[in-house]
Parts: sequence; structure tokens; C-alpha cells
Amino acid sequence: MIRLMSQIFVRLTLLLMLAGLASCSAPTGDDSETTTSPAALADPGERRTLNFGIIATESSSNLESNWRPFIAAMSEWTGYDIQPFYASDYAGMIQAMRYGSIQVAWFSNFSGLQAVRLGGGQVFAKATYPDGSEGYNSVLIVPADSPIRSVEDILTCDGTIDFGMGDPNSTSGYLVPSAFIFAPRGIDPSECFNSVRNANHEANAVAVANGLIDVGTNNTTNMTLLQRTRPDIAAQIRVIWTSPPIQTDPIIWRSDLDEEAKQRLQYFFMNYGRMGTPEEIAEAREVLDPLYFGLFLPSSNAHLDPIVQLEIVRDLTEARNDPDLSEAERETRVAELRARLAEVEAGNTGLISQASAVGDVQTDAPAQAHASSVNWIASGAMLGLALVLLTLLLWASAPRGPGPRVPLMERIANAVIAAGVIIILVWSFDSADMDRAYLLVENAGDMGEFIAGFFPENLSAASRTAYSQNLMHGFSEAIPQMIVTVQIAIWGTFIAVFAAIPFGLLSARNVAPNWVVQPVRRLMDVFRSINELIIALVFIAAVGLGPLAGVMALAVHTTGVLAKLFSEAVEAVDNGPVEGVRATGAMPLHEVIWAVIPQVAPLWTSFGLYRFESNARSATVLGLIGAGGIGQILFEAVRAFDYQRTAAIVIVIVVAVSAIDLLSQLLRKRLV
Amino acid sequence: MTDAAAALKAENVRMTFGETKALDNVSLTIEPGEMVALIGPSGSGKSTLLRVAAALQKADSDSGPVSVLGRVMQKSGKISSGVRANRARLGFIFQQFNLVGRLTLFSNVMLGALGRLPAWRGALGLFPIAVKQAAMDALERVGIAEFAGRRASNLSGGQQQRGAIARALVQGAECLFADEPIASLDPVSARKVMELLRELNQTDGLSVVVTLHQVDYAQKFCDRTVALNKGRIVYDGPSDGLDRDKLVEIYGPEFEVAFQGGES
Repeated sequence: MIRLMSQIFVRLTLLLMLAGLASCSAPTGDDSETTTSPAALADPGERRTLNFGIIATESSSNLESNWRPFIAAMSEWTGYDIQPFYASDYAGMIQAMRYGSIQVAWFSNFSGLQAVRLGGGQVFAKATYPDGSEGYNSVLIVPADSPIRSVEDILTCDGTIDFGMGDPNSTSGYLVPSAFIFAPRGIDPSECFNSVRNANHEANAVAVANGLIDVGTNNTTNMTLLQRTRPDIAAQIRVIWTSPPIQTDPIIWRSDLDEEAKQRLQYFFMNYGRMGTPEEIAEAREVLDPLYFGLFLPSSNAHLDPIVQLEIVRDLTEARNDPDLSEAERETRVAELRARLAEVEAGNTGLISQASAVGDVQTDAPAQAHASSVNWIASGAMLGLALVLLTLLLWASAPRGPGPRVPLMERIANAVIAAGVIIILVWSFDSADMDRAYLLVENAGDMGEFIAGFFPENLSAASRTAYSQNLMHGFSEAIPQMIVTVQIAIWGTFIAVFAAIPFGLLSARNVAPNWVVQPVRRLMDVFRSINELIIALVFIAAVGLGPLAGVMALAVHTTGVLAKLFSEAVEAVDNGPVEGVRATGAMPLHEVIWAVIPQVAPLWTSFGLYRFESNARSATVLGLIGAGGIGQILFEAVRAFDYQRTAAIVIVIVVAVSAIDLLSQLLRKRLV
Repeated sequence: MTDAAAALKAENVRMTFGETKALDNVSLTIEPGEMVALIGPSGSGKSTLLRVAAALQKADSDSGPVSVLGRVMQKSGKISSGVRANRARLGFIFQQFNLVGRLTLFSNVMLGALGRLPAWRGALGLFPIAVKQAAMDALERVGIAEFAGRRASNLSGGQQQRGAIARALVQGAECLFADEPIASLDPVSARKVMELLRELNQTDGLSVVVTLHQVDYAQKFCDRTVALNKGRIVYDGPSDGLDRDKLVEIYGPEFEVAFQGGES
């Protein structure tokens, strides 16, 4: 058994090394190949591969099937093997472009700016809408029956309005409203409104429709989509303000891509849907339509100038309102930003911006600034409450009548702990938003209505058939992806179990000396405390987007968790059998193999299986950054308001996770 | 057993737990082929003496040397470098048997060969045929061969203890240290285990040192008895020389009450 396991381990190590080598050598090999081979067109066996990144946004449902014909056309026109990569979040995509595993990508404006700044990208084309327009608009929305008529009505700043801002990285949901409404008037939303919350477009739309917030941000693309997929929600929303147009999305390539590849890509994007027979043109239009694309237009980094401008305006607002800046600092910063703005308006951006721009947004987001203000009165009250509680608890635990006496010190310690728990709950109440918990009951109907969107609209036979057809379609799409997700979890867990055995033993005090235990434990703390999403970004730099990055991220994180659990099991073993083996003259290694491991094997197995279940769920989230699997289509479906598809995917996840749970229960019974 | 070195030789051995002197200048020699009982009240140091002798516990830094079968196990609180090879020649029987519960009885018994096999074989569990044969022979000898395939944890206390003795046989041990081997056993199993130890002593010539709570077992199975109290040897002589007065001296005045209670 042990021999078999060691064989598997050796093979696994080899496999990993090979995978690592392959991914390292691939890009360089490609580059040298293309400089010499215009003949690539002729011989399909030697076709060069180009990776094309696609960001899933609100306007894309059925991502893969919609893009497939476009990718096929792109391959045919360029003579390259175009390999598509999908991600719902742009952080992974930028990372992949930066490290060369993606050469071309379709970005949104703001993420495109980051791709150019951080990912070595360059804008060469831009999309248009099917109607030929080159932009969309940011909007402010209110409930249909709201008394608010215009943007002036909300700028009275009487502190009665609950405002739903977009995500701080969203162009239409955050940057544009800040730049065009608040910054010019010198208004700080967090002071003007009763509350300001950051959420994505979908959440804001639903919240406005249900009257949970008075005003929210959104954009025209999203509103059109909403009208098509959820007319019931769209009907409850009214637009009160529309921004000047925001440019369409940029297509970006790596600036160091070779000239030949650039020419071929340019040729495709500029001529697709324009050149050829009328039939061919009509066909191209049909391919582009579901992608919400018209034809493509040439563009350059200047495409992003307005975004840079928006960003500076936002920074200006923040500099003016930042309570942490001294007057002098504020003036310097404002002057600096004004100068930069003037430069950008003169057409000289160079995409300059301080690296901290992104960080600033996050730390100074209005909601957080509001929460961080220290309130001394509250602290005093809290202290008073603590003292009162302590006295009460001590009094309540005072010994009365017969029975053994609990020592006073012990009673004090117990009272401090109990009071501490209560104080922590009170202290967290406000920040965790628990004061609004009554809304759960008050708006239960709205929740029900929303959830009803996941079910057939009515009980008529036609509606039921349509619904079950949608569901079936969702299943057929979700099941293969769920299998991929489970497969990611299988390998992630498998690698982690193997790594966690030595690490777990080395961090057990009864096996390894302290000078080994402490460093290994700290390393495991690091593994464990870093979120899988972040670890995945690191691996994307090496292996590109796709399941392998997800596998490695799960493996690293899970190693940290399992090593801790494994070592705790080892520390709890009965020392008798260990001594029994030692007394035969065996080596310490033999003691571990023959006396420790047999004792902990059932627990270890149980931990491993449990982590496998958790990883099947975690692997779902990894889809967000393009690690593949069911997460990717889940986030797509949610963003597209496609609730029936979402329902199908959720059902598949629930069934799969339950099945894994049952299976691992069976296994555990068998093994323990 | 070609050399005539003492099975156990302790010279001025000291061992303190905090303030308590578990072994207070103990010197003792046990000749090859002897069967000796170590008796004394709880905390008298009899188990400690055996554990120090097998180098399972370190003695004080000012302690004299302990050697087993002519090899020094530890000296001045430092365990000798060749201790594993020396331990391999010595079988140790524990009160709680100390078998690995989830392994089969057969595997447990084969573990006795770990000290003699190359490290990699031991690590991978590749036991040679000869070891497997020796394990089955040993199980046959102690009378539990039919349970070879059972998990150790599923066996009775008496069966486990006999398994532990079989493991010592696979070791090829030349002497056996048994620390309270029958304290956790029912009377029938206890008698079987003691009979087995005596048979190994008489037929195979194994030296046996056994710590016991029950004086009557010492008198019945061992020719020589060494009594300890508070870490000092208070009696060393033939087992039948232990009369009531001596026992009261060893165990204190409460002994009489307990002894009579046991008789009634």
C-alpha cells in the first residue's frame, strides 16, 4: 500500500514538473516560430496559438456559445489558433496579460486602463454597438412611484435619501456619477445622503425597484438588458438622469506583440463584417449581434483618455474631502491633480497616474469613511456597560446555599469572558448593519417576489413547459462545468493531502523539535490565511488562466488547513504504541510510520474528505477569476439577470455538493 | 547468549521527578538467565528503574551508568549513541500492552524486526519471508496464531499482552523487561502470561525482570525478589525469604490490613 502510494507520489511530482515546464516554455517557443513562418496559414499542423481574453460582463449571457462563431472567424481570418479565455473579474485577466499568457483581450474601459498601465497592453481597436453607436450612458434610477423628478431633487442634501452607488471600480456606476454630478458641485455623497452603499448594477436595480434605496446608479446597456430579461423589475424603475456618452469597450493587445501578429489581428478586426460577399457580411453581422457588437473601429490608447480624466476628477473629489490630509497637503495635491487634468485635456496623458490610484479608491470609499470615525462617547458608554455587566454577572454567580465554593478568581474570569462576548456582539452590531435587520421581516414579501423569479411565472402548461425547457438547457450547460469544478477540487485536494502529510508531521510538537515546528507552523499560517482567489492570481502569472491555476490555489490553501488539522491529530495520539515501537529498537521514522500514522489515519482521511467537500464549493468561486468550472457560468448568469439559468446552475451545485457529502460519508465509514 | 555479561547492571542510578527521588542511588545486578520480581508500593521506583534501563527515560545528570547485556544504555543522564541496537536485544512488555490498535496482530508482531531490518524496508513495510515466518512461529508459541489477522484493538487484554511477548520473540530478545504486565488483566489471563514468561525463562534461557503488585505472584513465579521503597532497595533475596514482617517493612503498616483482607 505504502509502495503504491509512493509510486503515485513520484508520478504526481513528475507530472507537476512537466506541467510547469510546458507552461514556462510555451510563449517563448511561439514567438520564435512566428517570425519565420508566414507559411503558418498553409500548414494547420504548425499553426501558432494566440490567447484571446474575454471579460464576462452584464451584456453577455451564454458566453461560450455566443463567442464560439466569432472565435472561429477570428481563427480563420488570422490563420492563428485563437484560444478563448473567459473571466468574470478583470484582475485575473490583467495578470494573465502582464505575464504573457494572453496576447489579446476585450476589456471594459476601466479594466482596460489597468491592463494598459499594469499589463503591458495597448488599445488598437474598439467595439461599437449593433446600432452603430460608439458609447453608452450612465444613468441614475429611482423607483417608478418616487417623488424625485430630476437630479436637482436629490442634491438638496437634507440627509433623507438612501443612495446606491456602484462598485468603486465601475465606470458607469461610480466614476461617471462622481465626475459629472458630485465633483463639479463639490458635494461629498457620504455627507449629502442618509446612507451611501456600494453594490453592483444588478443589486442596485433590484434595490431601487423594491424601494429599498431612493436612488441608484446604473447604465443604459444594463437597463436595456433588464427590460428584456426582467420586465417586471424594469417597470418599477424610472431614469432621472443620463450622462454624456461613455466610449465603447476597447480591444487590447500586448504592446510587445510581434508586427506580423499585430497586422493579422488588425486586418481581422477592421475588415470583419465589412469585406466579402453580401452573404458573408450578413453572416458576420449575425455572429456579432448576440455579442452586442456592431463593427469594430480603429483606436489607440487615446481611447482611454476620458477614463483617465474621470479618474483624476475622482481623485480631486477625494483630495478635497480627505479628512486625513492637512490643509497644506490638500492644496499641493489639488494643485498637482489640476495640473495633470490640464495636461490630459491638452491631449497629453501618457496614461500617467500614481500607482496608488486604485488603493485610494478602496480605502476612501464613502461607506468605509463613515464607519471608521471614532466615537469617544460610544467607547465610554461601552466601558460603562462592560462594568455594569461584570458586576451583574459576578453577583449572579455568587455562591448561595450548600455545595462546593467556586473560587473568586475563577468566577471573575468567567464573568470577564461572558461580559466580553456580550460587549463584542454589541460593538459589532452597527458595523454589521444589524440595526436594519427588521427589514428582513418588513420586506419579506419582496424577497419572496425576487425568489419567485427563479420559478415558473404561472402554473399554465405553456409557462411550465417553457420553464422546464430553460431549466433543461441550464442543466445541460451546467453539468459538464460542474464536473470540471469537481475535477479541480479532486486534484487540488489530492496534492494538498500529500503536501500536508510531511508539513503536518513537522508541525506536531511530539514529532518534530521546536525549531522546526515553529517555522513550519508559521508557513502553514501563511498558506491558510491567504484567500484562494489571491493565490490563484499568483499562479495565473505562471500557468495562465484556466483550471490549473485553480487547482494550485486550492492545493496551497488546503495544504495550510490540512497541515494544521493533521498536526493536531498527531499531537493527540496515544504515546503508548509509539513507545512500544521505540522499545523494539526502531528508528524515529519507523515510530512515525508504524505507531503515529496508523493512529491518525482515520482522522486524516476524514479531514481530507471534508476538505474535498469544501473545495468543491471553493472551486466554484475560483470561476470568478477565470479558473474555469461552474463558477464562471454562474457569475455570468447572475450578471445577466438570467434567473432561470441561475436556478439550474444552483440546483446542479446543490445536488453535486450533497452527492459528494453522501459519498464521503460512505468512504469515511469504510475507512475508519 | 555467549557472553556472560549481566542481563541488567545498574550502578548508583539516580532519578528525580521535581522534588521526589524516584531512584535514590540504586545499584543492582541481574545475572543472565535469572527471573527476578521487582515489588514495592506505588511510586517506589520499580517501573522507573525498568524504563531507565531501557533508556525510555533519562536518569539524572549525576547518575551512574545502566547497562543491559553488557552494553551501556545511558550514563550521567545521556542516552548512549548505539541505544537502538541495544534496545533491539531487549524485549519490553508494558502494562497497557502498547500494541498499535489499528494494525493487525500479525503486523504488530513483525514490528519486532524493525531494529534488524534496513531502514527503507522497515519504512515501506517490506518484511522478508523469514520475518513473516518468525512472526507466525512466535504467535504459535504464545498460543494466539488464530488471531493473526485481527486488529490488535479487537483482542482481549490477555491476547494483546501475549502478542506483545510474541513481538519481543521476533526481536530475538535475549532478556525481557516486563513493566506491570498483568496489572490490567483478569486473574486467568494474568496466570497465563506469568506462566508464559516463566516458560521462556526456563526453556529459552531468557533473563526476565518483572515488576509486580501482587506479592503472591512474585513468590510463585520468581526465585529472586527485589523490593523498592521510596527509590531505595529495601530487600534483595530469595522470594521465599519474604515473610510478613518484611512485607510490612516494605509496604508499611497498612499492608497487614490489606493482606488479611485479601486472605479472607
